[in-house]
Amino acid sequence: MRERSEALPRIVPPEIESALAGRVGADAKLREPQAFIAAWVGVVASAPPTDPDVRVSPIRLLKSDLR
Amino acid sequence: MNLTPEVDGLPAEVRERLAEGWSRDGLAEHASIASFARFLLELLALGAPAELVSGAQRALADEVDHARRCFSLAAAYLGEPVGPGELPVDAALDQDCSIQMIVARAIAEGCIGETLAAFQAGVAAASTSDAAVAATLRKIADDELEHAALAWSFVRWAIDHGGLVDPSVLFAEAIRATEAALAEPIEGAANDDLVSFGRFDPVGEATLRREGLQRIVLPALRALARQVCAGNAGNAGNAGTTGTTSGRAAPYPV
Repeated sequence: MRERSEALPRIVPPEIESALAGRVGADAKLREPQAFIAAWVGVVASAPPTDPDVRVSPIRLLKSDLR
Repeated sequence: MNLTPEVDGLPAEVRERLAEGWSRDGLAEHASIASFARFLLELLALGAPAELVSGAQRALADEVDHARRCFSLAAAYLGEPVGPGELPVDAALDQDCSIQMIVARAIAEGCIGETLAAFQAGVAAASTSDAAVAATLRKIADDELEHAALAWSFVRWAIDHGGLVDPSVLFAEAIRATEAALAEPIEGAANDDLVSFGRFDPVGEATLRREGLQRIVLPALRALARQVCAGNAGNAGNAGTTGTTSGRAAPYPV
């Protein structure tokens, strides 16, 4: 999928993405099945952050809880 | 396959916002490839039937196609190539791989997430007159619906498989969380100036997802929860099982 990976930082600065992903992953409660479901539903039912410097969808972060 | 949207005459600011939106979608699709790769391993670990394994494999390929399409649209609007970088997967399997947690992830990301993604893409496809954008959104909507059905099927199988401890707890939490989320107001007003391009702003997206939760997800969760409870009741006294014999022949909710 690396058509042009160098173009990505223009859209989503990696340091912002990493920081947000770390914040989500650091919540140990999300490792519990029921807490994970509750957190996930809460995120999809809410509007994502509107800070123009944080252009990362929360859905993406949770889907990427692979990190 | 024409993936070139109409860009002539579009102001630079609009093209930039459209590129940003499609890039975000591309990143989400890119991450979904890894999610399905993990799901494939989980299915194998649980001894799931071949139909589910091959379904997950097809879903993974779908996500590759979706990512390509989204980044192609982003590149067309931006006027330069756009693509994903490295996706750190160091801890991808360093997680709770109990059937309880695997099913929880399937309920959240598959049953709920893919259903909402299909609903959102379908509405967006109907909102745009751009042929390339509409084709991509329709393809995504059709595929995500298949992925949602796969997730519901997996959950049904996991219940029947019998290794799931008290599945009703997971459904009860999903229903409780959904009802609680729907009761909360959405802050801010939607800016729908890009809807004719098939794109919703964050408030618009949240509004759409809530409609999908209300109209599709919640009824499906309640239906499956009722089946699970009926199965448990039918197997009362059958120690050591989760009791879903009566649910085995029931149709999948989707």
